[in-house]
Amino acid sequence: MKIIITAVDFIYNWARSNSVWPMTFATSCCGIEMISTSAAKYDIARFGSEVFRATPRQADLVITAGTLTHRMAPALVKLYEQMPEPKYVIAMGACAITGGMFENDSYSVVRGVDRLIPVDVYVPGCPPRPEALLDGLIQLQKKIRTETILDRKKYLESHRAKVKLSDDSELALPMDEMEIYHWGIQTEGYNLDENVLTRENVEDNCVRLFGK
Amino acid sequence: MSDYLENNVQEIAAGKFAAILQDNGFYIKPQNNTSDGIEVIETSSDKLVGIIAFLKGYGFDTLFSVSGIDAGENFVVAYHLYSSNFKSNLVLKVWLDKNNPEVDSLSSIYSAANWHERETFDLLGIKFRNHPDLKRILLPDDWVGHPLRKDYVMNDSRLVWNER
Repeated sequence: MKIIITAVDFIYNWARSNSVWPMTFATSCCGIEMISTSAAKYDIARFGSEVFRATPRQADLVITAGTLTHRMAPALVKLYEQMPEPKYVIAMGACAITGGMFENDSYSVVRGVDRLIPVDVYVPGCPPRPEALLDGLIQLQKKIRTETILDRKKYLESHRAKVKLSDDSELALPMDEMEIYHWGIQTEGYNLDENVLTRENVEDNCVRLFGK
Repeated sequence: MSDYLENNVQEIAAGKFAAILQDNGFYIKPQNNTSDGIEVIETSSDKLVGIIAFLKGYGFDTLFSVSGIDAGENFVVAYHLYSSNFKSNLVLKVWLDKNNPEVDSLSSIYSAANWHERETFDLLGIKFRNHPDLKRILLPDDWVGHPLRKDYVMNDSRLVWNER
């Protein structure tokens, strides 16, 4: 049985990793580097990723190229949730990794897309050169080739949306169906007026809303 | 604020467009030109719409910027106009009350003013009367406060997850 799964995995991963279709998501100057990566000189088509899809429903990969503001954050989360499984994220550039030069004192920038969606590969640079993005893509392909069909569910389980509680502990949200907003906390999950984030509040409200 | 204009007695010679406005009976106060020679005119917020409407008829066909300034005691709104007839720019400034910054919207005259005024409202909290859709444009709708004000402090507890 294990031999069969390994063989299936090999073919399955070979096919998937050589046709990773990215979603068009360029929020600032890193997008220019992403465009030039897909253009003739650097030619991302050599790695099977030339098909930039303008809809999340046909994409496997989202390259978050650029600064993510609070205004854009719900859109990114919504797009990520609309992508079909299995889906991958490359955080491209300093802004997408940590907030970059906006990290220290900005009111409008999300400090890294990994606060909203799970990131597979980080590509540093400001902006990264096309070679760096291609290297990130190759790393992602290597990562895809190590996966098996059985592990994917475990991976997703460890990447569930979490809530940071008032006592600094984290609680994974019990339901995948809960919509994630840019506040990082759920508007339906607890009472926004009181701003009290405790384990009991979140769990009680999940029971109230979803019956679990 | 008309008080400000009356108390400020510094005399500056009227430029080309300021003289035209004064000849047509508008209450304005010419200011020093900018470093690159653009004429600056101050006016009061209640006279603004009349002056802008006149200037549009006169030949200033483009409003290319509306911006707000937190000047400590007051808010200032600066309108940058361009005329393709005269090939020249013109800056109009309006001084507003700090506690209740309100000025008439220009979106009925220049449609370009619509989003510029929304941005100024978003970041500085200046109200534009008779604006068709005065809501936030750059920040989320449920944002608290106006970030480009000098006294802005971000203490929104909903954003604690975003701190370093």
